[in-house]
This record gives sequence, C-alpha cells and structure tokens, in this order.
Amino acid sequence: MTRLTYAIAKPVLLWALHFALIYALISAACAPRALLTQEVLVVTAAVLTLTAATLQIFWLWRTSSNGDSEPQSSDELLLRRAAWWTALISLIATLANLMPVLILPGCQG
Amino acid sequence: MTERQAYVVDLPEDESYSGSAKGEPGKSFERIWDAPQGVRHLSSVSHRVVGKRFLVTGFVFFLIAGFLALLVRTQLIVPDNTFLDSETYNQVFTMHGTIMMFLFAIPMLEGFAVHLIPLMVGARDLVFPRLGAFGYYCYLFGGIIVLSSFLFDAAPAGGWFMYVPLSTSTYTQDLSADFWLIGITFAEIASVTAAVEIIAAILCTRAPGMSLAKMPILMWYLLVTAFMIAVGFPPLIIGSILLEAERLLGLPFFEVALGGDPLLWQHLFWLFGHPEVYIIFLPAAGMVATMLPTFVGKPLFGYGFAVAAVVSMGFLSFGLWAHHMFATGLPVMSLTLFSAASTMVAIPTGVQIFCFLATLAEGRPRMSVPMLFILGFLFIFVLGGLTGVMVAAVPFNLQAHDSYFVVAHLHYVLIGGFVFPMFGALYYWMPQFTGRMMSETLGRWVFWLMFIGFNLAFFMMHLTGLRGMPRRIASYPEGLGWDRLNMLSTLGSYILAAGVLLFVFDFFRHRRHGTQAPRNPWGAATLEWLYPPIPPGFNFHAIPEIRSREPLWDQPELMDRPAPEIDGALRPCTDHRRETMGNDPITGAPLQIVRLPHPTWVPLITAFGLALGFGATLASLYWLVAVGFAIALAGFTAWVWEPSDSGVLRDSGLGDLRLPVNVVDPRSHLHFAVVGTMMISAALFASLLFAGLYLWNTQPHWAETTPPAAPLEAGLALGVSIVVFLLGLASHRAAFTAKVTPVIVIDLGLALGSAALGALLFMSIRTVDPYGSAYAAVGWALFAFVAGYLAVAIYWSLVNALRKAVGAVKPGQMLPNLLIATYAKVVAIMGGMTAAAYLLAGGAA
Repeated sequence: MTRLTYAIAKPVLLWALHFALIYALISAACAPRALLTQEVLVVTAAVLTLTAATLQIFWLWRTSSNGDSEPQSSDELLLRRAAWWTALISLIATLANLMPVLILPGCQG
Repeated sequence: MTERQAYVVDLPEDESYSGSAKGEPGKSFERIWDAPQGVRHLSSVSHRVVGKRFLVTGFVFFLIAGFLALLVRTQLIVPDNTFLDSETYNQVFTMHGTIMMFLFAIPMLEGFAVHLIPLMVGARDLVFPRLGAFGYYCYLFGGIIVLSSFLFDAAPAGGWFMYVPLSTSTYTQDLSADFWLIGITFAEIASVTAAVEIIAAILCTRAPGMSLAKMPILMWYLLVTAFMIAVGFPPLIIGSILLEAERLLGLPFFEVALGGDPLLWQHLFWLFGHPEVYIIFLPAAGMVATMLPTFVGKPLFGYGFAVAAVVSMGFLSFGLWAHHMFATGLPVMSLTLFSAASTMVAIPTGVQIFCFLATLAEGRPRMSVPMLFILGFLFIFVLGGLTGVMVAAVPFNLQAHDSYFVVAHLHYVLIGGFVFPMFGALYYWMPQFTGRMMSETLGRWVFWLMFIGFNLAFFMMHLTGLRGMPRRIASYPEGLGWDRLNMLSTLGSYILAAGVLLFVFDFFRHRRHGTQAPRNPWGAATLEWLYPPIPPGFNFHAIPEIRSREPLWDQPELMDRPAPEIDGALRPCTDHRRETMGNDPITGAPLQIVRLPHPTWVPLITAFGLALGFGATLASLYWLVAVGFAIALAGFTAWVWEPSDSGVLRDSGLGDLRLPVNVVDPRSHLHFAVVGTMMISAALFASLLFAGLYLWNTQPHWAETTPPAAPLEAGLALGVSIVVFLLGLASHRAAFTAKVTPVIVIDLGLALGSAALGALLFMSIRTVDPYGSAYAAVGWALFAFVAGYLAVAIYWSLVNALRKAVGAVKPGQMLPNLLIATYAKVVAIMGGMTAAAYLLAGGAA
C-alpha cells in the first residue's frame, strides 16, 4: 500500500518539477539576461518533456497491470485506480507544458 | 531493535514514570473531557470548542464583508452616485475582498476541519489541541487588528492584493497598508498551524483499521488542502514581510530605482493567490462529496477517481499563478505556458464534477436543504469553471482584463465553489454544533433567495463586463449601457443578502425552538454521526475498529446498540488522561497511544503576546514589541516544558495488544508535525530564493554591480552547515538510545554549530550594504531568515540539554531529539544553500 500511495503522488510531482523547469527555461531565454537562445530552449525543453513523459507512461503501464499478479485487496485496487488516473492527467498536463515552446517562434509569439 | 522501531520501556505499572505525570486521578472519563465553564472556557483546547469558535468568528466576518459588499452595490446602483466618496469606496471594496478571502473563507474551512476531522477519523480530539487554540487566537487578534483600521480612519484602500508601488510608503503614507500587512500576516499563522494540525491529525490519529483508502473522502480533500496551504501561503508571508520591511526599514525590495521590481510582488502574491482559490474550493467540494452520498443513499461514485482528481488539482493549481498577470507585459511564451496549465486544471476538475453527477444518477436524491445547496453549487460552479476556461485564454483574457466579466467569473467560482457548499454544510452538520435541526421550510426560502439573488447579481456582471465596464470604479456616467445591468445586480445583491439574513434568523430561532436531532438524523454513512448529536465533551468512549469506508452503513455492530456500548480501543481510562489512538499513516494499523493536553491558558497568553508585539509595531512602540514577544517566548517555553509520557506500554483495549504511549518513531504525530513545519519553512525559504533569482534574471545590471559577500566566511559557513547536518543525523540516532546523559553533548553541539553557522553567515554578508540595491536586500533577507531558524535551533537544543541535565528525561523519552534532528537537517540545508548563494552571487566588489 505504501508503494501505491507514493504512486499517486509521483506523476504529479514530476509534472510540478517539469513545469518549474520549463518556466525556468523560458525565463532564462526571455528575461533581460537572455541566458539561452531559442534553439537551446526548444531542444532542452523537448528532452526534458520526453524524459518526463516516458516516466509517466511507464507509471501508467505499471499501474494498469498488476505486475506481481498477486491478489489485491479492495484498498489496493482503489489506490491503483487513483494512481493510474493521476499518471494519465499528469502525462497530458506535461505534454501541454511543452506546447508553448514548440508552437511559438519566439519569446514574444 | 532497529533504528526505525520505537524505543519503549515495558515497566510494571507502579514504576515511577509508567503512569502519567499530568493525569487527573479521581476524575471520570466524562469529567476529564468536560469543557471548563465560565471564564475558564477561554482555556479550553477541545476541537469542538475551537472549531465552533472558528466557525462563528468566520461567519461574523462573512456578515461584515457582506455588508461592505452591499455598500459597494448601493454605490453602483445608479450612475454618478454620491453615496460613497471614492476614497471610502476604495476602502470598502479592499476590505470586502480582504475579509472574505483571509478572515472568512480560510477560517471557515479551518472551523469545519477542526470540528469534523476527529469525529470522522475516530479520534477523541485534534492531535495538537493547544496549537489549534493558539491558531484561533492568532486569527482572532489578527482579524481585530485589520478591522480596527476603520477606527483609526486608516482602512486599507489598495485592493486585496496590495500591489506595489501603490502600497509602498511613497504612495500610501498612512498606516493603512501596515494594518493590512501586519494583521493579515498574523492571521495567517492560524492557517499554517492549521495545515500542520490537519496533516498530522488525518495521517496519525485515525481509528484502528482505517487505512488511507477507507478514509472518508473529505479527509483526502482536507489533506491535499493542508499541503497546499503549507506550500501556498509562504510566498505571501514572505512577500508581506518584504513589503513591510520596505515600508518600515526602507529596504528597497520593490524600488525600481534600486533594482527592485513591482512584478516581484505580483509573482509572490499570486503564487499564493491562485492556489488560495483551490484551497478554498477543495474542502467545500469535499463536503459536497461527503453529503451527496447521504442524500442519494449510495456510496460516492468513483472514490478512486475523486482521489486522483483532488491530488492532481492540488499540484496543477500551482501552475496557474501568472494567469492573473497576463496584462503585465510578461513574455508571450510565459503567458502561453500558464494558459496551458490553466486549461489543464479543468481536466481533474471535470473528473470530480462527473463523479458527483454519476453519484446523483445512482439513485433518487432526497431534496432536503443541504441537497438544494449542492445542486446550487453544481449549477453555479460549473458556469464559473467555464468562464474560467475562457479567461485562461490569453487573447480573451486581455480583452476581459480588469472588467466586470472577471468580477462575475470570480464570484461564480468562489460563491458557487465555497459559499453554497458551506451553507449546505452548515445545514447538514448543524446538529453536531447545536444538537438541533434547522428549519426545512425556512431553509428552502434561504436557498432560493440566495440562488436567485446571486444569479441576478452576478450573471449581469458578465454582460456589464463585456460592455466594457472596468472594475474598482466608484461611479460611472449614464448612457453607456451599464445603468440597467448595475441596477439589476444591486437588486440581486439585496435578495442574496435577504437569504443570508433569513439564515441568521433561523439559526437563532432553532437554538431555542429547533427539534432535537436524533442519532444520525440524515442517515449518513460516516463516523461523526455515531453518537447522538447532543454535544458531549468527548467523542468516543471506545474507538471502534473500522472495516469500511461507509462504516455506519456496512458495520451493523455500530448502530445496533447505544453508542457508549460499542466495543473498541481505549475504553479503560487507566491514567486519567485525555488520550486517543495513533496509527500507521498508510495502513491505519494501531501504532501508539497519543496523550492529549487538558485545558490550558498557554495558547491564549502566547497568542496575546504575539498580538501585542505585532500591534505595537503598528504604533512604533518598540519597547512594547519587546514585551509582547517576551510574553510569547515565555508562553512557548511553558508549552514545551511538559513532563514526557513516552516510554511506557499500555493495554490498547484491542485484544491483547499493548501500545507505547507517545512513541519514539518517525511515524509519530509529532514527527509528522515537524515534517509539515519544515515543509512550510522550505517553501518560505524557496520564496526568498525565488525573489533573489528573479531579480538576478530580470535586473542583471543590479546583480552585477552589487558587491559580493565575503567568500572565505561563506565557504566556512558551507562547511559548518555540513557539520550541523551531521549533528542532526547523530541526534536522530541518539533518540533511540538508552543512555540519556551522553546525548547532552549532541544537544550542545547542535547549539554551538547553529551559533557558528549564523555568525559565519553574518560575517559573510556584513560587507554588503542592504540599502544599496534590491538584490543586496534579498541577500540580507536570506540571512535574517536563516538566522531566525538557527536561533530556534539554539534555543531548542539548550532546552533539550537542560531537560536532560535536570533529570526530566528518562530512557525512552528522547522524542525531542528525533524531532530536532529533522529540524536541524533542513535548517542546515537552508544555511548551506544561503552560503552557496553568497559564494555564487554578486558582481564587482
């Protein structure tokens, strides 16, 4: 049960980290200090998103299949369902974080 | 015994510390739990008393803020009205927003949480009753400070968001902004203490067998809300302290001429402000999810979906703050990121709403008054959510910005998402508070007056906004197409107010004439209805084992006999102490017996000391500030100087199971409280770091020209922070050892290390002029912040050492070492990061 409880929080924690990093990257590229070029921003953001999305897809798969195939209590099934849904919502939200960087040609759109 | 296991001493019961140092022998179970009478009632720390105080005080603030709203609407009823002058109008709308957001909504949810959590999870009281009482008094005194500004003709007038530069001393020279900053920051102590209390109470004091998955759904909502408060409130607390420091001391955090940035305030404010909306909404939605199954007669549809939705909302709602800043000139790419996140949060919100709708579809709901308010919530909140998706789109947002469309949207969200569920909850749980039922007939009138009045008042505002009427204007010329809409809005607000007044009338009426509530009057499934709702001082004679999420529906042994005869844990009151069960946070398995404090004046005295300190700051009476804080320090010392009850085993009443009292274990409720406190502390620290990074990134010239801190001292501080961290690890291990005296060395080492770390950080930053630039001022703020925490570490370590030296600590009673270990490790990390920042930051010397 402890593992499943963490499984509920992990995907959204990863979303939060991903969001913070994308925000930091955009700020680094678009603020007066201009630390990053547009190209570096896009490539870094894409790599970060790919990594995060891969992990979230893995968690999605893991919570959708009963890997250890042992009978589960109703509590465990319920937490597993919650974990699957948080993984799905987080995956969609993570991909959404990348959209502005991919779609917009520059900081000012 | 491994380190993770509890250290307990299985002594015979006649051994000197196997009983309870502060028991009340001779008193029965009922007498022990009785609330004190007369003036001593103020010393009560029971969750029933404190919860009701929060609810009543919060509702009084609701009426005050509602009255201010009526003044606003009366001013706008006709064009060119002169009912209020523009300065008074500014004060009125500012105080309306401030009171509603800080002194009504959050305290009301705290009131429900404080009152309901123990009853719903099967505890006899909240896990930290004194902290709850202390939080209430801080809230009360803070609210009085804010409200007293009217008496001094210095009511804040800068909007509930206190934007700079309007709120700096250049443009607000009187004390109005100080009243806001000091009063609200003080009142927020209640919010953060409530967060710690809610987290520890829900995770650590549930009935035997109540696993996470068997908790009432409201507990998930409150748990997520508490974590959100812990992370969401700190940015505003830091922002308020920085702004007050600028006003009081002249430090240039937001001063453009010295490299400050007004947008930094907006970031800090909305980092709090947007999650705040969800902090208000989520508990209300949790109450809906609790009430709905009762009236449908079926369990909540999709408990797992709802858990996923609430956890997701808790996180995603933090990625939305800049959508309040779309018109400030941020890079379009940033705006689009926040727009995307704002749209994404609609997904879990939608999942949750569909859970409610599916539950409704499962049966034929009984249309009682709480159910009407639930339907009102669904109708209004969904409309507010849809306009929320509209204003999340950058182009539309720019068009609707600062117009009445936004006023309409936010009231649909907040009144729909909080006020309607709250009224439903008041009707639903009123028997818990008064033992009587409110009138169904009057309740229907209340609902329809509020529902019709609300929609008339606020739906019109969408149209007024789309016709271009800006917010916060005290009057408008006729003939712009706004006249009739404003008239209708004002009439609607009067109808809404009539509904609220009718509720107040019914409340007083039912106290005398309402019918006595029977046991479980609504036929609910949750544990708070186990006993007849004629309020006793205690919650459970014996704490029952829980095997279902709907125990009153699925466990017949709970309802087939009088409640006091139900079997369960802790029936014998061996040590004549207030106590409840402590559990494993995940599985709900019994872990310990938690001893709870009896009535005490300490919370009131401590909060009064702090109020004196804060209030005297406003009056610039600095000797009185010192007196106030000295009183508070004395209060805190009396608070912590408790004889320990750890280290003893007692029968649990569950078969042969014997449990330790106040166990020394990382799963202890006290350890969870420290973890929660350090989470808040880390969020405070992160807010300051964010301020520094933000200025470094947006004001590079000032970052480069600010002289650096002294590198040698900063390097040494970094090294000492590692030592303090290691001492924290040693203190953790020491908590599980049998020898007490040698641990004094670790305590003293921690005190010394903390002092050295503070001194080195000071030596490092002392060459930097805090008035030279905003960037330098943030450097000093980092030092002041860490120094405050180090001072607490020194004080705490010395108290621990002194207690051991005078023999107040025996083997198995070194829980404080476990607690300070976690504290010291986090403080060491913060100190180390500050030192690292000093090494890396700054430009030419």
